[in-house]
Amino acid sequence: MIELCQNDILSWVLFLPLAFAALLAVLPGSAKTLLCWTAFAASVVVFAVSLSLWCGFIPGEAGMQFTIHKPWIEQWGVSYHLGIDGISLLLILLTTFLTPVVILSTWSGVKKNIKGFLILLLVLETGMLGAFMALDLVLFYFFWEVMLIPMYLLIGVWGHERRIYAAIKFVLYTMVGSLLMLVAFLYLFWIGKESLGYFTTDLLQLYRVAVPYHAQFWLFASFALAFAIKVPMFPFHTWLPDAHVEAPAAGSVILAGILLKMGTYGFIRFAMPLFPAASQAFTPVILTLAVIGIIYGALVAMVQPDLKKLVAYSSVSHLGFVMLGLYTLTSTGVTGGVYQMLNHGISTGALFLICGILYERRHTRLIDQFGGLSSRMPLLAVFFLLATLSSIGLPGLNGFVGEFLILIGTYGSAHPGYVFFAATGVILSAVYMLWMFRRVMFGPLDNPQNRKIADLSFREVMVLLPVTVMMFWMGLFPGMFLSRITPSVEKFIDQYNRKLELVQSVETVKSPLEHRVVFGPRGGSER
Amino acid sequence: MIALQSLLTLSAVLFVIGVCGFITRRNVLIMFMSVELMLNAANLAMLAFARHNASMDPQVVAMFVMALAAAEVAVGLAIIVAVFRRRGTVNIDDLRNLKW
Amino acid sequence: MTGFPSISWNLLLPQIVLLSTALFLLLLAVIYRGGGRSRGATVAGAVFSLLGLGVAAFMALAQYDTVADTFGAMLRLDPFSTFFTLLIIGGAALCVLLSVREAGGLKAMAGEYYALLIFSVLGMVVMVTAADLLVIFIGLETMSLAVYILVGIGGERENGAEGSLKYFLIGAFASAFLIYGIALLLGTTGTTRLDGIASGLNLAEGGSLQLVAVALVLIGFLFKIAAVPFHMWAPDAYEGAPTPITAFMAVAVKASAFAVLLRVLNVSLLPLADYWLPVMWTLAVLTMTVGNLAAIFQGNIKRMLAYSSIAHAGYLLVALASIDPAAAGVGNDPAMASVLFYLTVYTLMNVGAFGVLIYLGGGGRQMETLEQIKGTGFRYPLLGVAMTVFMFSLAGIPPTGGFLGKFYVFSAAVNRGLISLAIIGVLNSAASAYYYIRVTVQMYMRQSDEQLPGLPFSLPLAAAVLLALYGVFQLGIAPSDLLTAADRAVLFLR
Repeated sequence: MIELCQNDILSWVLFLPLAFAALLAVLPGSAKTLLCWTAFAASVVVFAVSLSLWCGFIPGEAGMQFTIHKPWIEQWGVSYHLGIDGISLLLILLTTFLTPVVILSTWSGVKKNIKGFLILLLVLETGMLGAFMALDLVLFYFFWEVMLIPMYLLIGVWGHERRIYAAIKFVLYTMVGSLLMLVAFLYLFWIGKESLGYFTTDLLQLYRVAVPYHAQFWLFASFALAFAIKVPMFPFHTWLPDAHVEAPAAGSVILAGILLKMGTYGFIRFAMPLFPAASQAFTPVILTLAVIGIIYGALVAMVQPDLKKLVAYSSVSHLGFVMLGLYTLTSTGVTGGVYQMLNHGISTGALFLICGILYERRHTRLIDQFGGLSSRMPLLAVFFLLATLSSIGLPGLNGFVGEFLILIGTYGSAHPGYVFFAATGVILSAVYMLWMFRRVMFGPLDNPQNRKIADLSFREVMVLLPVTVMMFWMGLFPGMFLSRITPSVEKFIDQYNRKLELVQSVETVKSPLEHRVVFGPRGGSER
Repeated sequence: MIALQSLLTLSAVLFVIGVCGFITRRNVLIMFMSVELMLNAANLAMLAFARHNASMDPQVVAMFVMALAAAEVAVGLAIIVAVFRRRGTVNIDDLRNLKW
Repeated sequence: MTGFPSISWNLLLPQIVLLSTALFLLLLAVIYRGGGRSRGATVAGAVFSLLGLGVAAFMALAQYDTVADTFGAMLRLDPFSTFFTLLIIGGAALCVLLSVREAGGLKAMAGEYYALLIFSVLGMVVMVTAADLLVIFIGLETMSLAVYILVGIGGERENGAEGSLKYFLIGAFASAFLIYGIALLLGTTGTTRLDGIASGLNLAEGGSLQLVAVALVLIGFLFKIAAVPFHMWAPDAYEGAPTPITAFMAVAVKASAFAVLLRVLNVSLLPLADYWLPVMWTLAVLTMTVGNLAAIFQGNIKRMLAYSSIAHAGYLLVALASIDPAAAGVGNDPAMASVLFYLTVYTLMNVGAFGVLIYLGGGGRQMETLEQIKGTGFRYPLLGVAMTVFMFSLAGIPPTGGFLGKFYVFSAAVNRGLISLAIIGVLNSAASAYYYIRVTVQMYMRQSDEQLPGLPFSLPLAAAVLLALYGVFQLGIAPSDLLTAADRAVLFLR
């Protein structure tokens, strides 16, 4: 069976969630148990199918695997082109892994219209998988925007008090960035047409186009803006705390665990390899912003009274690490960055799940409302502690591997000075995370409302267990994952450097394109 | 023989009077009459061209315009009557249920 | 013009069918004893209108590959005119479906309502097949006179007459500009034929008069497409009209006006492209920006959609500003094809949005403002989903046709190097997302203050909404067929 559909297994993984969403749509909305089990089973099936990707993936090979290439909108040269390398493979697995966990976690948390909630989660899964698999820019943009709708509804309908504000802010922020990126896409296609002789939107073919530097600058800027909003990099992060705090627990997990990775993934897959020269020119800016993000995120997280906001700002800090890793442009650093993307998905996902569990019991997210919970909730305390330590980067857990690689990579890169700031970030993260943990779990149990609080149910243990197992697994046996990431990363760096040289050699000839971009109204006679 | 120039100038003057009337007057009927003035300015221009170019075409067009103007009057006056019956006014400034 | 022109009547079959249908519908009041106000008459009117439109569409489809002139080359049949004939008939048919329930409540004669609708469709079809400015003018007036009345039809409604009056006054004003321009063009180029004008344009001698003439003609058309600053009638007329007529105006009137504009610009005015391209650029920016900014502040959804339709006219003007005069005779111009594609998508998503609005109003409770639609999303799940899709399509978010439409238009702009125009366009698009998603906010994220009534099922409405929904997705996911048709159609423009 698996052999049979080996050729388009990516399509299967991609559209299975959508098909299950359609199935859910026809089930009666009142049959809550049935809906929950179906959705859970569906997501587990998707995960199982996606595991065959892991098995069938050839670790040593750096190029795209499982590719599917079919014409879609032939008039525009747009094709249905899917494929994965080591980087996207793991991000896809992260997506399919977190989705069942999230679905399981929502069973009691979502009180109204759970049918719609589950359908949206599955649609969202398709959107995210599509964005990770797409090797055609239009197709990518398609899925990139498709993700927006379900996430917006998840925040806006099932979120907390200021949910509408947060949802609209989320949509508008993302749309401004991605629409500017759309113009950049169009411009890039046009340059591609001039250079290749035919119109194409295919990423792998556009990789071959040596974009003139002057154009690269603007193109990279708009790509980077769109992705930086998504990452989010300082100073484009302001939507994130709102969205995280107001989103339902499941939404926060998906948002932090996967959606934010779209931004960093966008950098490594699109912005950097397409426009290496501009990327090179922007490096100091991005590194500085990344480092500001690391430290600013950590400092702001420290003073948050709100549990979710604290974790949200810690995300800003952690993704600063990822960006730092990517921009070291050393094999170690980039690999670390990619690994950190996965780690962040797991550990921050776990933290948000725990926030959700606490919120369900106490209907508050304020840290000072808690305290001394460890005596009442020993099970939770264990999981919480592990998630916290993983987030800090304790050796033996997953976070350590990523951060360590990034620090080494940075030290060995062209900009070793940033190590100092990054290391400060590591220390700060230990401070705010442990302090938060102490205030929530230890100390006197002085709030009477906390006395009757119940420990984890079996379902909740099942939610947190797989995530925790992953923390150990990724911390203790990183080789399994790294062996798949590294070849792709090395190819990325190699491609980046070769194209950088190519563009620099082309630059000696003045580009004819420069004369053709006109800002402002114009007549038709200029051509 | 009056020169084409003068006839066209007259028609342009009529047209501009029509435009100004439409923009400045507040009574719907007078606004409507201004539009008719503009249409007739067009007719005048056409007839002037017909004479100057010794061509029948503009005259035919002018006939069409007159027919259409008549149709417009029929519809327009009916609408104005309907508004007057409902609201008791034909002043455009008083008709402001619909704004912004 | 010597002798009686030869006429190929078979080429005019769609027009003839439409005319006969309209005349027949006028008799409905005689046939039905209830004076044409009975439910039977309403349904019969809709059925016969659909029948007539269907037959006309069939005739048009049969001539899909025909390229011919008739009536002494005053009418021209080519894939471009057929494309728009079909688009207009399709849009009108959807609007007839929207009308079935509303027309019954208008206290107007059903026969008159549908007859006027078909008459205006006839006018539009004449407009898009015209190869002569005079014929365009006649078609335009036929269409407009019918629509003026339709806006105010059913004297009981609060603002119908006022909207109708404002629309009429400005429409007549615009027509006067158009006819004055035609008069000057006729005088200076010696013809009203579209291709004749192109060869008659001679800026060297008496050029300024010709420029004035062209400007006046264009102003006439720009009023019809509601481009800023010629847009002030649109919101009033849209809000005052019965909702199905609002949809009809937003969809069919706009499509036919754009068809004529495209033809005139490309067939007659191409030599003047250097003059009008920058004008279109400016108008596009103004129209998009004013339309979107004004839409943000509307509480009434019909009025909001009116401003949104102005904004969409702006996106279409982006395409007009990106026309490449050098591409004439070389191959197809994406800018022109994108107009056709966009208008099709636009037709579907607008009909859908208005259809949902009409459906929501079926429970005896007015549903026109953002306040009133609170909480309807979960109460009426299918309508909620449909409205969400239409709103996201209008905002240009995949996987809907609205996205590919905008993609096409902006891609045409970038192709011509108009990067700044494309950037202004997408920023507008982002701003528009704010008011479109606000509709979904009201539907899903706020609670209604009172108990929402159950809605009576309406087959025609449901059919219209579902068709529109299907179309929006179809064009968003598999647009190739339409793209081919649009590419082919614009080849015949020059």
